[in-house]
Amino acid sequence: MDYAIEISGQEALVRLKGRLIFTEHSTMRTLIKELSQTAVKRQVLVLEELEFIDSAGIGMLLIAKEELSKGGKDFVLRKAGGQVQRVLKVAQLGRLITLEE
Amino acid sequence: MAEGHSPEVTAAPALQGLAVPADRVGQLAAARGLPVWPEPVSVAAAGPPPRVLLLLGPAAPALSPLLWQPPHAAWIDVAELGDEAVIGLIVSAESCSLFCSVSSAKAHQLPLAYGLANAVAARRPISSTTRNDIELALHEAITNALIHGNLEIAGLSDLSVAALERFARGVADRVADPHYAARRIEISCRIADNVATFEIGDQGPGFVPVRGRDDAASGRGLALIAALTLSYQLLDGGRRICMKLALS
Repeated sequence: MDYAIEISGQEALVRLKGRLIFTEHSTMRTLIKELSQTAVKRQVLVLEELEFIDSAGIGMLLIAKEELSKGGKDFVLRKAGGQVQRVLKVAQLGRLITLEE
Repeated sequence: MAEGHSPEVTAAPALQGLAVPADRVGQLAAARGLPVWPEPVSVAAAGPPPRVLLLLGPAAPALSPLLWQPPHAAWIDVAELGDEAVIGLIVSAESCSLFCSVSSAKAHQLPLAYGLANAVAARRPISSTTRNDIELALHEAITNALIHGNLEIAGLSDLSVAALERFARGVADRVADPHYAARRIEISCRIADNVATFEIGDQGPGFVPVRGRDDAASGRGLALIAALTLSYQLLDGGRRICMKLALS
């Protein structure tokens, strides 16, 4: 999985690309560390180019939310589509993390 | 054994090796009375056989997408197995629509769920949603078999980067340990009457599923499988899962 961070106004926009599965733990740890160091409060993961997510990927998103919350940051998922949107819905992740269109 | 085999199962297969010595492939084929499939470049000239069972050597490179397509119907990692064990796997493969047997080390490297979902899609006219559901259900089952079954690694203990680091170290240590890395994962698929029945088995100690918290870091795999399949069953003390998926 690849990602790119862009600060836009009061938000850090993170565009994820590829597959978020259990083997991506190293990438996610690095991403969480980078986001915790941004100067803005709102962290938005843009998922429209994320092709696939598994249950481990959902766990890693919850870890990201938890860790960033400790630092006083807000964590939002945006524009999930296709298989990713289906999995987030089945896992009822909207009850735990804010999902935006 | 499922009833109503799809036509391709009843056709005689051929054996092919990838990074397996040619004489060994020949001996194994002779032991089962199977022909050896030639190099892919000659497929067009000879005409494709009904089914090719592919033997993967320890040094086999990443599989090209073509090797997940017909006529390939089985993928058997020979690893350190002796001939008797490999022949047993060939016999198993002969009665399945699709079959895969790999070591844990190989399972950690290969995109098994992606390849097998494409193999099903190449044989049946299914929608992309169905194809993706098959891939995810297989991926969850195979990951469970690998991580929790064969490598005996528990799920993430809490919602922290520290827990993620411990998990990552645990996986790396166990994949590098020959005792765990050699444990096998076996996947069989029988396609009949617009239903694909997958069985995924591991060589771990087995488990009894426990319902976790909704906000837990792990433990959602079986719930996802339940949502994606017509039904699933845990067998053999949790070492095997049987899943049925609609092909539509």
